[in-house]
Parts: sequence; structure tokens; C-alpha cells
Amino acid sequence: MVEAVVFEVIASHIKSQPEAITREMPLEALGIDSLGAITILYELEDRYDIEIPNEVFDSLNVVNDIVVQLEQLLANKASG
Amino acid sequence: MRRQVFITGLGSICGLGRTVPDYWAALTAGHSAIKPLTGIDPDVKIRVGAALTGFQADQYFGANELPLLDRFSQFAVIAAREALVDAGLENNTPVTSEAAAIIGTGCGGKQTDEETYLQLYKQSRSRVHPLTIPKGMPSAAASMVSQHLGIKGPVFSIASACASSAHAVIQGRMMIQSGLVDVALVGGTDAPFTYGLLKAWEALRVVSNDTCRPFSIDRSGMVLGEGAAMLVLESGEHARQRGARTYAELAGCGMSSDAGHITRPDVDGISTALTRALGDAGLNADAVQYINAHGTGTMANDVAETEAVHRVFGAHAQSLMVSSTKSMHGHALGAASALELVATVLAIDKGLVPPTANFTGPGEGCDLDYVPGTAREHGIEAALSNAFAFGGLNAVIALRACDS
Repeated sequence: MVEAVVFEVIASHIKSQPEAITREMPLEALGIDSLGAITILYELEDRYDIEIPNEVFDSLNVVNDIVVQLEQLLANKASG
Repeated sequence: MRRQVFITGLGSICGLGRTVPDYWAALTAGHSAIKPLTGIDPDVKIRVGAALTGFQADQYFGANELPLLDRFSQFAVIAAREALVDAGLENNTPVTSEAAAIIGTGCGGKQTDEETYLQLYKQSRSRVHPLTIPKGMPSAAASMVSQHLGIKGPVFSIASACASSAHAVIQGRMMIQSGLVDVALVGGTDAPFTYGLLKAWEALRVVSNDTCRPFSIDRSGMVLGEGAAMLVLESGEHARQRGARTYAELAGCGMSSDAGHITRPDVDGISTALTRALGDAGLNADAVQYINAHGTGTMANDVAETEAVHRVFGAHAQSLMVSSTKSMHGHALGAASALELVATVLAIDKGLVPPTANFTGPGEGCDLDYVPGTAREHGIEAALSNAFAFGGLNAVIALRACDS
């Protein structure tokens, strides 16, 4: 579920299709620079109403990093 | 001896037209772009403006470019592109990579700022879009012009309210005269039709509710406009070497500050700027045929500007043609003086003086030849373009025909 949303947001940002995204893809190879990355995180924060800390932003290299971090933050939110 | 500086390219977009030829055709036909504003909150008392109705940014920019382009940056890049092409220059060439770009703005990226503040203050959102700063900052338009055209020399923004683009032009000329650059893209841009700005202008009680009638007996204030205008300035030797077309010589500039009232124009300050421009250009007062007036249509400006022209030009004032094109393109704030300079350049180039539209007869203290209603064919050897900003910041630019 989280993966599908992340793929959708990334695809929308780079004018591509979600099917063209995989977890292993480096953000840089997708043409996502730092401004692109913060825009994607902003959209995910908005979508899930969560705060993604700056430390998380610094650790993002591949698409999977976003999915994993987001799942963790959502689990934390669910457990209160 | 100082280097000569020539104008070799023009670009503009405003309510009157989206290209310089369209703008000039409308100006010289005496058309006014001032119309009832659409899509404005009913709470806003300002009901008319010279807006770019029907403007669609996606006709000019790709979807990947738009997230960083506030409306004021869009106008700047569109006008800059046209000016560069008109000058026969191409993007990302050795010439542009050495060139300067100085862009005036009175407001900056207000659309971006206000959308953000609306979300924070009225919609109780706690986060804002991450591009809010780079998109809305006052220098964003200058950066976007640089990026889109490959201009890599000195690039920055100048803010002096309604004289912003005149000061930008002057700064570009000084850079060329000093030898720092050979080519400078200069001008200004603004997009002030946002809720907060309209409410702020409304509060000043200087905006007309019907139309702009500069120097007229029944004038009722200024009318806001939007858009951008850009000019390519070039040193004489650079223009000659590449066989560039020269519209006019940017012969002189005069700047002054009133150091007085924050909004009331000052005859002394205006006169000083006019005198300095003539002196800098080496022009006798009686050599000037045309002045593109600041001419806002407010009670205060039009009387003060007329009095200053009398003081500086003496008996020759009665022979001058003085028109306010704000009656047609509105007061585009940071873009105003660049739009007006383009009109002045073309008046020299074409031998045709754009009129003051909506003129209904001279107001008290307004007794010059304001070229009412209809453009006038007249050869022009030298002309001035006036800009007098809130805050008492005055800038006058003197142009001379190339064959003078």
C-alpha cells in the first residue's frame, strides 16, 4: 500500500508511470535532485499527515529508502 | 571617453499584447487594456485593471518548468526570450554566458507568497510547499531568466517600487560603461493581481474605480497592470562588431531621491532627476521632443510631474510631446518603466508618438501637450522616460536616435 503511494507520487513528480518505478532505483537516476526529493516528501507528509524528520531526508538514496522510512513512521504513528 | 550603450533588442508581455509588435500596435492605436477584473474576491473594492486575461503559462513552459515559476517569473522569462531573439542573440552562447541580467521588481513572487499564507493563516495547514522560498523570493525572476537563457554574468534583482526597472536599466548601462560586460539584459516584471496586494492598494486610496486618465481634469487615480518588459543593452563596439540592429542610444540617466514624503511626489526631486539625465546625456533641454511621462493618473503625480517639466525645460516645455502610456498598459509597478522605455525606444525608431488614452481635457496645473487620444507621427531625435517611485526614488532615462 505504502509502496504504491510512493511509486505514484514519484511517478507524478517525474512525469512517468508508477509501473516504471522499482524499489531499487536510485533517486538520482530518476532525475530527482534535492529539491525534487523534498517536494516528494512534502506530498507524502500531506497524504499521510505525518512529519518526516530532516534526518530521514538525509538518508534517502533509493526508492526503497522512502518506502521503508514511511512504513516505519506510519507504524510509529499507529502505535501512538 | 565613456563607452556608448545601445538598445539592440526588445521584449514585452502585458495586458496590451504578448509580444512587442502586438504591444506597439495597441499602444499606437490608443487601445487600453484596462477592463473589469475577473476572478477577484467580491471583498476587493478595486474592480478594474490591465491584466493579462486568458494567459496560460503552459503555452510557454513545460510542466517540469512551472513548479519554480511564479507568475512574475513567467512574464520575465517570456519577455527576456523575446528580447534576446530580437537582438539576434541565442541562449547559452559565449555572448549570453558573459552577459549580465538585471531585473527590477516591485512586488516579487506575491502569488506564491499569498497562496502560502492563505494555507497557513486561513486554512490552518501546518506545512507549506518546499519550493515556496525559491519560487517566491524577489530575485526568483532574475534567477529564472538566467537559467532559461544561459546568462552567467552578473545577475540580480533591483527593487525600487515603481522605478525598479528604470534602475535596472541604469545598472546595466553602468556595467557596460565600466567595461564589466558588453551585453546586459535589463528590465522588470510584476504580477500584482493578488488578493492581499489588491487590498493593500485599495487601502492607499490612489486606485481608480473606472479607468486611468493621466493629466485629465476628471482623473481618478492609477490603475494597476501586470507584465514584463526587457531590453538588450550592448556596447557600441560589440553591437558594431556583430552587425547588430540598434534601436536607439541609451544616452543618459538621472537619479535622485526626495528624502521626503513616502508617497507624495516632490517637484525638486523630479526636477533634479530630469536635469541629471539631460546633463549625463549631454543634451540641451530644447533637443528633446518627447517625454514618456510617469503619468500615473493620480492627482499628486500629474501636477508635480508637469511642474517639474516646466521648471527644467522652461519655454521649451510647451513644444514637448508628453504622453502617459499607463493609460493603456496600466501601472505595472516593477515592470512599468521598462514597458514605458520600450514604448519610448519604438517612438524614436518609428517616428511615432504613442498617445495618452482616456484624456478628457487638461486638469488644473496640467498644461502640456499630452498627445491626447491619437498617436502622432513626429521624428524624434531625443526622448526621456520618467519613473518616480513611492519612497521618493526617481529615475529618468534619456534616449537619443542612433543617427543623431
